[in-house]
Amino acid sequence: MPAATVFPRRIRVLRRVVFFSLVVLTTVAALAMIASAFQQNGITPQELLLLFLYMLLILWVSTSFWQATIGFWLLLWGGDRQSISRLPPRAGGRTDQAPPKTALVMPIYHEDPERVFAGLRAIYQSLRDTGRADEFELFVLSDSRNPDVWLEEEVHWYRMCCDFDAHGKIFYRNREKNIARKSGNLEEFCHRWGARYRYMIVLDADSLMCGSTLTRMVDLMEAHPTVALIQSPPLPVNHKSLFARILQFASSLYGEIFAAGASFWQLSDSNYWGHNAIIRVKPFAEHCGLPKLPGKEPFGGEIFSHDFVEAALLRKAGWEVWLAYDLKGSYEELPPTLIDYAKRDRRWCQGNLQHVRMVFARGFSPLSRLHFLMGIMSYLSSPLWFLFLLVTGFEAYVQSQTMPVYFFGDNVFPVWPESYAVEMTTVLLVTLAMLFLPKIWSLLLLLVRSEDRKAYGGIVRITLSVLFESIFSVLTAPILMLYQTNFVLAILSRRSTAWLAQQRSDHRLSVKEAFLAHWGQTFVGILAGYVSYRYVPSFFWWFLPVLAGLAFAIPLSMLSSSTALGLLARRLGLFLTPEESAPPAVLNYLKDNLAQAAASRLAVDDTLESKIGDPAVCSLHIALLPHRLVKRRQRHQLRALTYQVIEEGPSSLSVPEKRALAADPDSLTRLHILSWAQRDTGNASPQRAAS
Amino acid sequence: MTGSVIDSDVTVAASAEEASPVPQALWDYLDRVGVRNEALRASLARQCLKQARKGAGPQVAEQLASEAIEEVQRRLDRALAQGLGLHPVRDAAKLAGLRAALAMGQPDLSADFLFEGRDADNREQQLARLIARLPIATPPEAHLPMPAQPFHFVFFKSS
Repeated sequence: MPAATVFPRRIRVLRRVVFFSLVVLTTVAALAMIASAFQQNGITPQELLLLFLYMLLILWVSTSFWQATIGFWLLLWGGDRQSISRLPPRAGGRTDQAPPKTALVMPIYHEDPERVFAGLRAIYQSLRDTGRADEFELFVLSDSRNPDVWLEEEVHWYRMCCDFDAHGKIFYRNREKNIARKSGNLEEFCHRWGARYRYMIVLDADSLMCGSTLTRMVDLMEAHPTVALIQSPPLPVNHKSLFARILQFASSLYGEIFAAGASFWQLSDSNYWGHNAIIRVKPFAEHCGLPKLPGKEPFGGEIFSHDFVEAALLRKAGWEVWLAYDLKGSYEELPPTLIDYAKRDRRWCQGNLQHVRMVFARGFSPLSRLHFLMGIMSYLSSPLWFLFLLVTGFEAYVQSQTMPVYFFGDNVFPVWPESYAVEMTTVLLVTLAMLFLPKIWSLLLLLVRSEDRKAYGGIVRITLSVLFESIFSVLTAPILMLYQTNFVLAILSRRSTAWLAQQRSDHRLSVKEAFLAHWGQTFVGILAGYVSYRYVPSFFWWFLPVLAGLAFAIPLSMLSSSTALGLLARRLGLFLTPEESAPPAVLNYLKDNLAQAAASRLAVDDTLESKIGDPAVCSLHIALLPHRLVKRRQRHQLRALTYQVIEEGPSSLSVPEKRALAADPDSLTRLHILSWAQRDTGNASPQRAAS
Repeated sequence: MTGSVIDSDVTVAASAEEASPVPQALWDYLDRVGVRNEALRASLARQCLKQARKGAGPQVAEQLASEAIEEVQRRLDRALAQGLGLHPVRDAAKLAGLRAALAMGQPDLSADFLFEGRDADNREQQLARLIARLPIATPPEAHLPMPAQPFHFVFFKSS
């Protein structure tokens, strides 16, 4: 438990009362409006269901809306004075005994080594520009199993050490056993080297951070001894596909107000997003060891989304967790296509739904439970919207089939059925306003920020970009809704997902890929369109934006994956971000590093056989292997595998078999010598005569 | 895997046996591990081939090349161990690291000085440069226990 001055409770309480009052009042007002409309003709069971669904959804929408609105208001007046980056240093507290070194840790698993190390080099270059690189050590924590990737990672690591003369400052470790995925990877790091460092900054494989941001984060931690974690808001950058560029633009333009709003009410009880965050190592190791949950996946077993849980554990132990919304220079990359985005969502969905039981864990603060609930709701809202649309459609059908009754009993005067079109339209407009106003707030904010306005391409292009982005998000929202509904149902039926490497580079989707991924949504869209047009034509027109997104899912997904369209939009100045118009040094470094890596890659033979045959690669790999004893039986098995490679080639082995060979120095040396001796030197080498 | 190429132009002239051609693979291997000086490379190739032939009888070219490459590795390891005061078995990983440093450090680093004895030019400086490029994959361990936190759930089974 930290003993230094904690953040004042009074401010936290006041802000939360304001925020939650606004959210609850908005929800109650919207509910009252819709309930009064329903009550006019008596509430039916399906209307009761609609009310319940609407309550959940509007609660979610208004939370997001008020977060953005408060964030907008704060930024309009120059930012939040209570943010971690503006608070004066807090003295006192116990002194951290760990040396004031910071480890930059990057857990990787079957990522493209070229991109990983180009990014890491860029970060290191930017760090060296600050003149404080000596305060940091870099750690690449590889969980890659495939020897092809493993060997390549090692070569990239060693070249990086040589190029920067950073031997003993940049480290690489390939874990023998992948226990507990990424959280297990970090846990092993803390267990083995944790006492060397006071802080660690966790990076994702696609993370990029400016050196000045890294040093700033360390300074903030030093100034606030009660803080265990500071999360920086990473901005998506670098991709060129239309899909990614639209999302990059949206995150860049709208993200700040949401982050500022979140920071307003969360303050020292914020959350951890898994990367681009600085962590005080000692309390993290003391309080964040994660157990396996009882039961099988997807709800039991290893904890998928470890970040939320770790933040909750730190808060439970009395440490502060902050979101530094105003920290710039923190970047990540987005999945380049709608399909890749959905694939990532599948994993996140499972991780977040697994938190259901965390909501009921003893000892967590109410705000930690709220973080878990919000994470769950970010995926559960999709099936709720889907159900809401279904019930609304059904209700519209029932209404259209109901014959109005004008005369009751002996009454000679007709009783006109009351229409609630005005109330329902108002409710719809209020909901739409809450969804779209944050975009307007961001636009308005640009009016007072002339520098930013230029960086986004000028007010006309920005307005057009916001308009197109809004249309795009309206069209893709129903596709993601169906995807996420499917994911939630799959997880509820206890189907788990595998731990697969992510597709991070730009690539155009083929018709086949798009068809296989979206045919179901297209079918649902066309069917729902036909049914609604046939039976409830008035509802059809309201429903059209949702139907259009689904019916055109295949072409939409294909077109948005196009890099050519993304670049065309860029040439037109659409969806421009400040990182595109004036890239920071770290992004330029990355670009140069990737170009250099691509140029040197052309000259290298890329097969596993050639890697093992190369004396440099093979020796390096052997040098990095941990010492372990091999039993006689294993020795025979390895020898058999060696001969299998010699006779049938490396492709005849499975990945675990290749890994077994690659983990044994003797087998590797044998293969290396054979591979080199049998290589076809052709006439490429100059021919020499021995004297 | 394909068969090796024997270069008929590459000959070892010392004796009838030594006059047989040096496998191109062996020649290239010596170059790749950092033996820059051609005369030294030829001499090493001759010695390694001779050693490979010893007691093995007539062999096919591939086997001869393999044996000779293995001998190159042995000699390189021995030279490195002698130069840096390392144990050839206990420090096998470190020796592999130095081999990697030599092979990846070209053209800045060369293995020639290791075979040229104590009189080699700038031997100490070259050794220092080599040591400076020794791969250090991980720092010394500094353990920090990370115990798994128990979870107690209200409606679910606890961990």
